[in-house]
Amino acid sequence: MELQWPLMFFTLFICLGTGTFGVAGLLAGLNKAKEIQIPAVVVSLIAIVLGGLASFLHLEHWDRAFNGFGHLTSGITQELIGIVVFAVVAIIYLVLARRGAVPAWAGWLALIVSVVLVIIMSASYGMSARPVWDTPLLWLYYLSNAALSGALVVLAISALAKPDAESAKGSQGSSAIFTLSAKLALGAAVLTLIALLAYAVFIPSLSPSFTSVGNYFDPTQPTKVMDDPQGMLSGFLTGDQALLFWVGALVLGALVPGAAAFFVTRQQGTTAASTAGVAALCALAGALCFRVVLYALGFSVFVFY
Amino acid sequence: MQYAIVTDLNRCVGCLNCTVACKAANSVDIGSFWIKTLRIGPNPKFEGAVCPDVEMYFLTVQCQHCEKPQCVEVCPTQASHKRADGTVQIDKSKCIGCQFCVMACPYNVRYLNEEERIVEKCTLCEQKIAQGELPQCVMQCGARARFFGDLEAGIESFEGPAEPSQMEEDKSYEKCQGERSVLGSLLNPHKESEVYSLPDVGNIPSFKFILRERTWQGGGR
Repeated sequence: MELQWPLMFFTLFICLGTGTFGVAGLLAGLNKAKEIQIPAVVVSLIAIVLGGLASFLHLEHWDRAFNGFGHLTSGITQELIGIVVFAVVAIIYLVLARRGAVPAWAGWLALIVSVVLVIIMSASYGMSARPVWDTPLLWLYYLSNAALSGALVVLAISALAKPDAESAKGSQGSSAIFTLSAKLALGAAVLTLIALLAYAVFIPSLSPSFTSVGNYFDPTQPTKVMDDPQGMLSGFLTGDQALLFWVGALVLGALVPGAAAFFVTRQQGTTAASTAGVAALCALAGALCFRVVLYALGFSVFVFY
Repeated sequence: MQYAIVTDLNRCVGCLNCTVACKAANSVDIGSFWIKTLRIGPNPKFEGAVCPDVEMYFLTVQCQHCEKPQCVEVCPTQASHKRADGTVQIDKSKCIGCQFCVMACPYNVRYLNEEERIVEKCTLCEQKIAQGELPQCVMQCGARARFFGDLEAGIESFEGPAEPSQMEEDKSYEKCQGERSVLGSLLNPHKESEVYSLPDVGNIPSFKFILRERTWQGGGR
């Protein structure tokens, strides 16, 4: 399938936005990290808005988007509802954060809304016609994407945050939040790695799902080379997609951020924030690489038309 | 009711009349197709066989007007919808060009019309069948291999234009086009096991293909 860049950026920004909000919510749920809440929610809302803009760029007739929009079985409709609910919760959360401490219930609500939106987004690509997308592994991958990019953003914010006077009295100062964010990022990197390796095993196993007709010829494309989905799937780990998968998705998207999350605890201040920021960019770049792979291998079960 | 087309692949000669007639009748853009005729093969008749022990046939592929169309399910505006006659149609005024239906179709038969920026595909010649006529690809089939009808009434009742051999006096093209032949009486007999569909991933394609004494290569059943 040809690359749909607006959709790839849509899913990327949704992962970034939900991940940042979800991690901030988790920390609030644990009664920690008061000082990172406002910048985290602002980053999250900016990412969600960018995601929304990317999705509008995908529409050929965005002017008709609300003219009859609302077919509930459609993944796009479900995504729109999810984003609206997410935005409402995030704005209420922001108001609470500005008033003082975010209550624990609001933190847990933020986490739940974030996870649900990622699942809705993943499910919208669960089309039986495209076996590479139609798997819970996509859910796992997008959730790990969200957790990794979100934890790294919170890590960068917490490295720069000044300790809140109230929390600094106890054991929940910004250094504790920083360490916890680093651990979350490391865990998310491991989860991303697991999701990618599971995909590496899963994709070649899909060959029987695709129709094979042996030799064939399409007279409307007389010089076109015959499509061979089975060959591309079984050889994707060593073929055209290998560099994007191994170097892009796996090394850049999981190992580098994971290593950064591990070593960043030895740094402080702007140095630590820079490391976390660069790691977040690497995670996003790696995630984009794997989205390219997913589109390149997102054949339908009958590819010969 | 479920309108559909049955193609006898033992009769199809790959003349591409259906492809060309469809483009002319529906003003399909240059480079786009609502129906294609693929040559399947030559493939070995048995494992390890080489020429001349090979076989081939022609397979017409278009929107299968599925019983449970995935394209309709994913459409956010219900531009893609299923009509009471079983056909899957696109309301162009509602289409926002999100192309999720293109992704959801197992057969790749939908495409974005770059000029109108909406998705298109075979309509089963809605403008003709609504008036009791046959779809253009059926009318113009050079081998009388294609038949149109209601699947719920059984494929034996499907109709195509008359064949000259069936006509008593006037065997002209115009006369044959004005009369109907019935699948059950025109075609050579076939077994139920010789009726196939394209791969089914839960969408239940409506179109059928009859293939005798050849190995079906199109997936599905």
